[in-house]
Order: sequence, then C-alpha cells, then structure tokens
Amino acid sequence: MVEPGVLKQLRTILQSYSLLYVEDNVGLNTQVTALFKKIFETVYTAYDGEEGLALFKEHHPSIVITDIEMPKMDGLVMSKAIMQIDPEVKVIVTTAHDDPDLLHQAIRIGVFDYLVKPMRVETLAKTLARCAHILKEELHRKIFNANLHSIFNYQNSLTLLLQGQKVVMANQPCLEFFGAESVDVLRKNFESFGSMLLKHNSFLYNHDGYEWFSEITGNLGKLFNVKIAAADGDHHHFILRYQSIPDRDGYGVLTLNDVTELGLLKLYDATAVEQERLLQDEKMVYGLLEMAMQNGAKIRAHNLYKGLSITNDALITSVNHQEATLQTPYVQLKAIQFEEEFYLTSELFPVTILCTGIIRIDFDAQRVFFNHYRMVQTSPTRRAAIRVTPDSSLSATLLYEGHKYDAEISVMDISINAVRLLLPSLPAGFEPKQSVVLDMVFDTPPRPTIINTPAEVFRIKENQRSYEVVCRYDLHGQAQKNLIDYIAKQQMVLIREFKGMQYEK
Amino acid sequence: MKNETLLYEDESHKCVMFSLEDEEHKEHSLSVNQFLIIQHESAILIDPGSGGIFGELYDAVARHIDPGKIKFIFFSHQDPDVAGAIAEWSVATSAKLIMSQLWTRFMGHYGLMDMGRIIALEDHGARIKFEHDFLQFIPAHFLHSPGNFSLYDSRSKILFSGDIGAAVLSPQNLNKNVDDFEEHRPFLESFHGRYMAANHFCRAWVKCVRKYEVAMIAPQHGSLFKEEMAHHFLEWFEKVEGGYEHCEELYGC
Ligand SMILES: [Fe+2]
Ligand SMILES: [Fe+2]
Repeated sequence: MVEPGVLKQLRTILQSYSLLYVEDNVGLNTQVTALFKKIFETVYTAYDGEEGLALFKEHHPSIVITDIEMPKMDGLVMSKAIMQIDPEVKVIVTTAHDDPDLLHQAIRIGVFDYLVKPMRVETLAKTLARCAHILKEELHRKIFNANLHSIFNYQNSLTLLLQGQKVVMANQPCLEFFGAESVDVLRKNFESFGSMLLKHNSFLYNHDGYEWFSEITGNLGKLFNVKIAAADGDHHHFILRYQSIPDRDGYGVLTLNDVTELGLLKLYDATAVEQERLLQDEKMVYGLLEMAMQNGAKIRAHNLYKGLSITNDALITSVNHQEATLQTPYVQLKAIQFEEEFYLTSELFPVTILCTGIIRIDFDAQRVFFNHYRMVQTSPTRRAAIRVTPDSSLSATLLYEGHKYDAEISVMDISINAVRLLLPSLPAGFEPKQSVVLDMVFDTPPRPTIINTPAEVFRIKENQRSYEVVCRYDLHGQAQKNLIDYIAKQQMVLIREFKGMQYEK
Repeated sequence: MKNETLLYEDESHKCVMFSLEDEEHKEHSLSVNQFLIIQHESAILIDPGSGGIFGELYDAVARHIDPGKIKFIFFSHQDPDVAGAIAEWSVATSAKLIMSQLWTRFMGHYGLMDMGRIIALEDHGARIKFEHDFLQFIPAHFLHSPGNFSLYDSRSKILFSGDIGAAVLSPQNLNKNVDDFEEHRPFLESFHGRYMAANHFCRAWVKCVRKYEVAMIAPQHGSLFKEEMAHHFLEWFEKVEGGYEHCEELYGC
C-alpha cells in the first residue's frame, strides 16, 4: 500500500504531465498502471517496445517508464529511439537484474534514472519528484529564454522570470546586484521584494494601500520608477517594467533598468526650494530624456492650437549634446511647426518639459529635432476642461457692482466653467474672489444665444497694456447645454482649420 | 420614465439603461440603448450615442449623478451611433474616454484631437478594479467592428455587449425584455448574419464571456437577455454564421 499523503503530494506536482508506461508482464502492468493513474491525469500503457514507441510518436508524453527485457523491441532500443525524437523526455528504466552492463548502456543513452525491480514505492516517488522538479525548471528556462528577445536591452538590465510573485529564473546581473550566489538564494530574498522598494516621492513602493505587485500587474507594460539598495548599501534608481507572458497564466518578466548614473533621484524628492534650482538645470532634463530613450518609454507630446489641445504619443529616438530627436505622428509635428515649441509629459517624469529650439522637422521620418528644453511646473497639459479660442461671433459684457464695464472686452478662451477675458483696464477695487455678472452673446443664426450668469473673478494677470481676467461660473440647464454645444462646434471648426493647415507648406 | 430602465441597484452600485432615439430615425426605430454604471461617487457611461441625443441623455444622466463625476466614457466601437457625440461629452465632462486603439486617431473626425483624454485599449482588453469588484473589457473584434469590446460589470454581473445581441424591429423590444427567445430570434438572425464577420469570432467571444458569471446581456440595440435568456443567446450566438460563411452570396461574382 502507498500512503495517501505521498500519493496526493505526487499528484499535485505531476498531474499535469503525461506518462507512458511500458511493461510486458501483464499482471504487473495492470497493477502499476492503476497506481500511476492516481498520480497522472494521462497514462498510456504498452506491453512491448514497438507498441511503446508507436504510442510515444502519437502522444509525446513527457515521462516514460519502461522495462528493459521485452518482446519485439527491448526497452533500451525503444528509449534510444524516443530520445532521438525528443531529447528532453524523461525516461526511467526498470529491470529485474542489477546488471552493470545494462546500467552503462542506459547511461550512454541518457536515461533519467535506472530502477531495480521490484520497485520500492519510496524510491519511485523520489525519482518522480525529482523528475517533476527538473521538468518544471526546464519549462521555466524555456519561457525565460523565449521571452528574453522581447526585452529591451536585457543584457544590462536585471531580469527576472516570475510566477506570481515568486522568482523562477533570474539573469546574472540580477544575482550580482542582490549579492545572491544562486537563484535559490535570490528566491528567498525576493519574497520580501516589496520592502526592498524604498520610499521616494512618486516612486513605486508599498504604502497607504499601494502594494507593488498589484500595481504592476494592474498596469501591464507601464514603467515605474523604483529605488533599491544594492548589496553594498548604495541606492540605485531603476526603471521597472513588468510584462505578462501570453498563454502562460501567472508568468511574467520583470526587468529593472539601472539609470542611477543619470543622477535624477534628487529631482523627484526635492523640496520646493531645491526643485526651483534644479528646474534651471538643463543637464537634468538631458538625463530625463536619456532615461526615456533608454527605456523606450512612451511619452506624450502636447501642443495647443488656439486652445485646442493636440496630444499624441511620442518616443525620444536620440539624445546627444547637440540635439535631441522626437518621433511623433504627423498631426503633432504640424502643431509643433505652428507653435514652434511643444510640451513633453510622462508618468516617469516628475515635471513637464517644455521643448523649444526646433532645428528642423522631418515629416517623412515623423521626427522633430530640437536643442532647447527646460522643466516647467505649470503647463497647459493638465487642463481638466476643454478650452477653445472663440470665433468673432462671441461677445461678452461684464457687470461689476451693478455697473456695466464699458471698455472693449475680448474673449481669449472659453470652457464649460470659465472664461478668460482681456480688459484694457480694471475697474477700481476689482480683485479675485469678487462676484460679477457675465453676459455672453453668441451670434448664432437665426437668433442670437444669450448666456447671462453670475461669476466669480478667479485670477487676474497684468500684461503690459492689458489685464487677463479669468471668471468662473457654474451653468445649468439650457445655458449649460448651449455652451457645451458652442464649444464642441468651435472645437470642430478649429480642428478643420488646423487640418486645412496641414495641406499648406 | 418610459425611456429609462433600472437594471441593477444595491447600496453602492447602480446600472441604468436609457433608450433614447435620434429624432431622425424615430419612425424606423433602431431601438438604441445607452448605459450608465454608478459606483459610489463615480460613474462610467457606455456608448452614449450620437449628437442628436446628447442634450436629452445629459439630462437623463444628471438625474442620477452629477455628470462631472463621470470618470470614464466607454465606446464599444467607432460607429456614429456609439461615438458620434464624443466632442460634446469631452467638453461637458472631464472623463477619460476608453476605446480600442484602432480608433483613437479617427476621433478627430468626430471633433476630438486630444489623445491625452483617451485610454486606448489593446486587443486583449483590460480590467478596471474597484475594491472587490471589476469592470472587464472583453474582446469582441470583428463582431462587427474590427476593434470592438464588450464590457462586463462583475458587481451587477451584466454584460454590456455592444452591437452583439442587437435586434432591430423585434416586437419584444417594446418592453425591452426578451421573454420569448424563439419569437425574438428571426430579428437577431437578420442583423447578425450580415454584420458579424465569421462564426469563428462568435465562438471566440462566447469562450471569453463564459469565463464570467453572466446574469444579463444588455445590447446596444434592442432588448435585454436576462438569466436563462442570456444562456439561450450564448448558445445561439455560438452557431451564428457571418460574412465569411456567406461570402459567395455576398459578393455574387
Ligand atoms: Fe456598430
Ligand atoms: Fe450600433
């Protein structure tokens, strides 16, 4: 009798594999097959070598257990033929004679193990457990190797194959960085990987309900900044990327690309004062661009065409001290050509980058070459509401403390909850937080649309000969509907106008 | 409200169907549905339709939640009866707009150029998690659009199936409920036989859908399939033949 505990254990590790069992003794065959069926999901049974080989060719089981002395074709000849078809099959031979000659032959063929009959269950169990372990390792190595080619620049990155949160394989740089002499040691250490991710502003680390693994698996392909201490205690800045492996449930490749040399860590954790100073540092921006390029990070290019936000994905394709190159679609390049500048954002960047100094635009190669860039803390890229520059059909008047403001007002841009007006002068005492009444008239055929609403002065900016005043309002009902309709239509007009421009030189 | 059906409600989650028609199509009704999922203080709007119904739908949504709290608007595919009002919705809300990566750059034709507002779905779809529940974007490519997704809400167990399950002119559409599958079937057949690409895709979609427990299938046109009807529908849909199977008749040359 076999202990049910042992059987259950074997079943958990072996059930997904298929087995071919070859034994000419009918009684023994029946008995042992019944036992194997408790372990393996699929068991093929044959009574001689020829039949065994035929079954192997048809089903390609991963494990073969065979007797040696059998009619038609003996077990060793069959094993040799099988291993020529698939050298990775695990063949276990069994024989009644402890014959050193047979043993040597079996070794030469490359069988996995050699067991003397009668087989002792404990020995068989041990052999099968070892077999399962090796099959799994081989599978992991295969997955690892098959997926390496898809990993950007993997030689220099720390690369780990994970099953769930467990390490199954790791490359040499990974072992070196963590000071682990073997993958086994790393496996142990990696169990606390979450606590190795050090706290750093906007970086990935465990805090306030953020758990690193659910973050990376919930955002596949996204890049994260992480900080990890090396075996020598130095803090390193890595870009972490996690890719799940298609058709292999639970498996994924984690890469950590070391960008410490770019010296960007301090930029993320800087105090307001420090950041002010760092913002002036063009070398820092250079580092950010370099980091984005090295990691093939998807970044975004932003432009505004009369308030119309034009945004597309972009890639930094080269950075050197003379110039940098950005690849982005035609539409974006057109907007860049019009504005002679563009903004870059990325989830990897702590700030927005404003790029100027456009050297040239190559529309065929979809690239723009530029040589000036700086960090900015406020940018038009974070607008929550769509803003457009209105056409001439919109006019506005302002009532302040019951009096109509009678100088000429022009509307610079308008959104669903705010308008920016240009005033030649300010009424006395006019300042933010005060209430005004706004009258906006849209000259729409057949009759004009009028929006009359209380508003609050939100911001005043002094220009050389004028003032920009932002007023905020909260519209409801038909007035709100009318304004949405106007902005959506104006947006369409601007898109057409912008697209029309694309055919001009 | 005649044009409104409550599909699901518990203490923190609610699904509502609106059935607003574009004025122009009223006499040959397409039986269009729009959907709203509310989870706590945020919402996701599904297939909000064309510009013609924008105002009406905006008001209908506002009766349930401040439209400013719409976090996502999901467009199952690129058709005008699905995404035609993307410009209006992008102005009216600050929601992120979710659609297949195939269609993002075409949205300029509907009046939206700001890719920063768009979340582009990759072919295998994606999942949005909230606490213990999730929304799953299930691939439905070539059924009919080549970049198409259905949306499964794990809390209500409703599958928002887009054009899949559409039935135009079926008498069962009057109360928005399929009570008799056999009676409804001819109306399903006429639509799916012409619009779906091939049986292969139908089966692939059913296979994906069966991973989830589905209590209701809510299509963009026509009536709801509840409980048993949903299973009838999946069984029927697995056998649907599409353009590939009828290529010769279609081309006739
Ligand atoms: Fe459609
Ligand atoms: Fe449709």
